Amino acid sequence: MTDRFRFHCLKLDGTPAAIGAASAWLRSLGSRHGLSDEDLFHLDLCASELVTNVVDYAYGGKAGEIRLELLLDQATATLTVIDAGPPFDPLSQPAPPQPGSLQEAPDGGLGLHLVRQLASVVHYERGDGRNRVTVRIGDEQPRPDRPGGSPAAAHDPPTHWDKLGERDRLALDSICGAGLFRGASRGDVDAIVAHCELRDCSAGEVLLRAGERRRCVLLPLVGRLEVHLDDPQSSFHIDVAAGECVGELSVIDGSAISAWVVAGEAGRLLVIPEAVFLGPLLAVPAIARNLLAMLSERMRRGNDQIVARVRAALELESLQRELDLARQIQSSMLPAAPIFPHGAGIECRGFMRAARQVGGDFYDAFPVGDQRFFVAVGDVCSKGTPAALFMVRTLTLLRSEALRPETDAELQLARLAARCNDLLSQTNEAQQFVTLFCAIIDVRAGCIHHVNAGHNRPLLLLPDTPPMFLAGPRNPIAGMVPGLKYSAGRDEFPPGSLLLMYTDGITEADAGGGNLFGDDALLALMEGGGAASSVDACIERVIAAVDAFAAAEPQSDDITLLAVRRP
Amino acid sequence: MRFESTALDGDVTQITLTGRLDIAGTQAIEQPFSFATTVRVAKIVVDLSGVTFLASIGIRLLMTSARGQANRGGRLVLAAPQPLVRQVLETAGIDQLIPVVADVETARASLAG
Repeated sequence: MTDRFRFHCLKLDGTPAAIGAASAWLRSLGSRHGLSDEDLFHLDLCASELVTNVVDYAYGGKAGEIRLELLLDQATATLTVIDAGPPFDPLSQPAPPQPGSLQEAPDGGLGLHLVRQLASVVHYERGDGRNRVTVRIGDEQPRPDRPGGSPAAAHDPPTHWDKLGERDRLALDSICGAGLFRGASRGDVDAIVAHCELRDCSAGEVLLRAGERRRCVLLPLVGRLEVHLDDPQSSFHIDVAAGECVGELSVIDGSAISAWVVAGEAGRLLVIPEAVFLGPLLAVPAIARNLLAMLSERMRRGNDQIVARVRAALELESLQRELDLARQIQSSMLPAAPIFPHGAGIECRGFMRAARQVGGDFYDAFPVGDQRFFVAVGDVCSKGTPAALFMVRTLTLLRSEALRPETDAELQLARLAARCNDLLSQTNEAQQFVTLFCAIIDVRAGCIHHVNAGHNRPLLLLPDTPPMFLAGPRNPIAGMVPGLKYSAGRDEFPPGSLLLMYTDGITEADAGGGNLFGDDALLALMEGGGAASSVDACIERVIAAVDAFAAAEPQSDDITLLAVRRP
Repeated sequence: MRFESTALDGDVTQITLTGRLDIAGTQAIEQPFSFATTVRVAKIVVDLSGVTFLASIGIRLLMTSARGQANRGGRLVLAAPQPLVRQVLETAGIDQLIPVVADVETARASLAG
């Protein structure tokens, strides 16, 4: 199969002498190949016209290079004329109209008209600052009415085979067993290599540039190439081993190269011209199969990456949905406003803003008997979903413990804290804990019973009294060590009194650089009256102050407030 | 590229071209050919049987001469092109503008009238 094609190229300087030189070169090669007289004539004519065009217009008498590439394949000749002149697409020129008389006949445009009429294919491309006009002479299949279109004559051995050094021969021996040439006969490989360029490359040399249109495929004979997707210096790259190839996609689909190819180490390269790659190389079945296998392997690898990315995106989306759901469940567990009906003898309002999707803060408030109301604020030490789950456990325990019938509120709160601590301490592998403040307001008795398990002391606003932090026994945090005893306290809570419970998200709100809101600011905020006039006014005042204080920083912790007031 | 001019009976001039009418060939015969075909009114047969190649520049020379002769009231006939040269002439539409005949005899006969 490979003995039927030949690939040749010729460099000419852009002077009128180039035209005759091109003709002589083509005639000699074409007739040796066995082209018909007609095809030879047409090839000669097309070349003459195209080269004349370049000499006259592209270079206009100035020095410039013209390169001719000729692929002779069976009875077909494909000629490409390449010049570095200004962009000129001969196909965009209108065909000269058939003149009615000699007087009207135009002098120009005739040459390109002949090219278009006589070549079976004419193609123009601009790239790398060059014009490339390709013409094909003769049909793919020799026509029976064209006796000259005979298959090629027998061939001489590859022209520069003798120039191959021992090193290249050995390298070729080794790549015949791997990569693109795996399983191909040595004869086929030799015939292809004879029409390719062999060159050295140095470590770090950039061989292909992204965005360029190159008309060759590179195959490392010795050494390894690196494909860099982003830039030639990027640390992430894909290795191309000896015998594999790069640049084939650009040659196959005619698009620009999509990545950078850099020599990973000093080595030896086989540069396969496009015409050889698309023609004789792919005509060898073993090589074509290897190329397909290589492409499908790359496609599969690409698919795997896509699947992995899609899966990760779906998992993230599903996680996001679960977190949204968790947040909904969590906020639905907190009592909604109005917490107590109007006229119940007590007003209550809660506020919570989680720093993350789901938070560890909570508050609760519910009646526990005739004119007795239970209120609680807590803060689970960790954040995120584990904190939320621990918070749910705490909330559930509080509710069941608070609703046990018990007349002595103080005793009840002490036992509630102790039982919560015990139950949370069991099966707590994550070593989480919760700070808790719980209180029972006895409206009829005008007092408040409270227990504090390591929580921030709430603010107590009594009528005609400066605001103060609620005193009372301090107890350990809940959930770490079982079997602890908790002590509760008692304070007066007459009409007009307000208790503001909060978590450390308020007092530790950060304005940046460790500048925290602090207890004193909170206390000062409650001074001067007004704050005690309603639970809404109280909470809104705190939120506004904290938001103004920490406006420049993202919220780092959950913020929770619970205000309870006797009207 | 060779150029020969022969005076025939009946005031007919036969010009015989031999070789390749490519750029170099056309440039080589341009002056004598133009001189022979355009400076005076004449009946001219251009024998193309020895022309093995014809490019657009050669066609332009033939057309210029034929046009010049026509402007003066003379005539120019192309005779005996080889098949591939004839194909180029036809492809370029020249046979519609300049008579192209199969041989020199036919050309002389057509000019005799």
